[in-house]
Amino acid sequence: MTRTVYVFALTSHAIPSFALKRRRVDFLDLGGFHAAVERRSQSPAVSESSLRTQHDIVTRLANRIDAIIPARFGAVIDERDLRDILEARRPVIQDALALVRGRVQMTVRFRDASESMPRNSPPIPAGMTGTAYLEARRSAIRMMPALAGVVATAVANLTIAERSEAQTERAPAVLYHLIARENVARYKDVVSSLNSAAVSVSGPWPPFAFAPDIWP
Amino acid sequence: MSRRKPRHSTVPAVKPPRSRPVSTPLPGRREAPRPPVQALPPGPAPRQELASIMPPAETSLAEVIDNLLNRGVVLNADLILALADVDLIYVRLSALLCAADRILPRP
Repeated sequence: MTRTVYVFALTSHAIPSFALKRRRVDFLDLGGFHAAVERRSQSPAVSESSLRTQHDIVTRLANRIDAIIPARFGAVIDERDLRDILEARRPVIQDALALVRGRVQMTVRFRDASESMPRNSPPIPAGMTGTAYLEARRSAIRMMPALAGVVATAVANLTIAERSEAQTERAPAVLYHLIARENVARYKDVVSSLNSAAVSVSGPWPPFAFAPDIWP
Repeated sequence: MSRRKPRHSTVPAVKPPRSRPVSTPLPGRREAPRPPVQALPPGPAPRQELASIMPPAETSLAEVIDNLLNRGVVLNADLILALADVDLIYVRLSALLCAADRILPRP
């Protein structure tokens, strides 16, 4: 008989089980770290309600546990498989937990990034191969705005780790910063003092963007 | 048995406060990068303080979607190789990962 669980997050330690909006959260001891799970056989349907509930649960975990790695939505998995996967990736998980311990994620979006992108395809120079043209086009499209460098420099002394997502034709560029919990107010002050309408900062969040890639 | 504090000490009982600039200048473009600054003494923050740092009520739907659907560790990745809308091969990556871990020699 298989037992499936829905994984909310991997955590450095366990806290007493709790329930939030009829979702019960228990902890599996995985030897050195834990998984915050709900015993259920199917993933909840993707809806605003289920997304918000899971986000609230992960936030509650992050408020009570100083090192957590949130799981992506829909992580229903056989308990035995979960143990095998995490055992195989134990060093990666432990390194990630050490990185996020006592830290939170701040998210910076660059609102007008897409407006500065080239709308029309550039003319093709004579003699240029198709591959070269596509690579040039891709590098022109997927880039970080100059303002991202200004923000990154301004908060450099508060930043533990940084992830970035270049702008695309549909989405603006995003910077994710991992900072110490006690530096949230300073971080917001620094970013807001840049006084740019193109920059919006949100957080603190659980460190969603600093989850490790555990697949080969 | 109680310990007594030494009566004479060269260390003042209370250190005078260090003078700090009233307004902290913006770090970054004009200043050289400084090492990370710890504003509070080391050690885990009290639970109550942690609880107030991330209020869930302020979360916008856009943030929720970005966090939960684009980020976070992927634990149950499955892969379906399809051609012309016909699923040909289903690969359960969890099984693949576990099998590879058992087959490969451990260091």
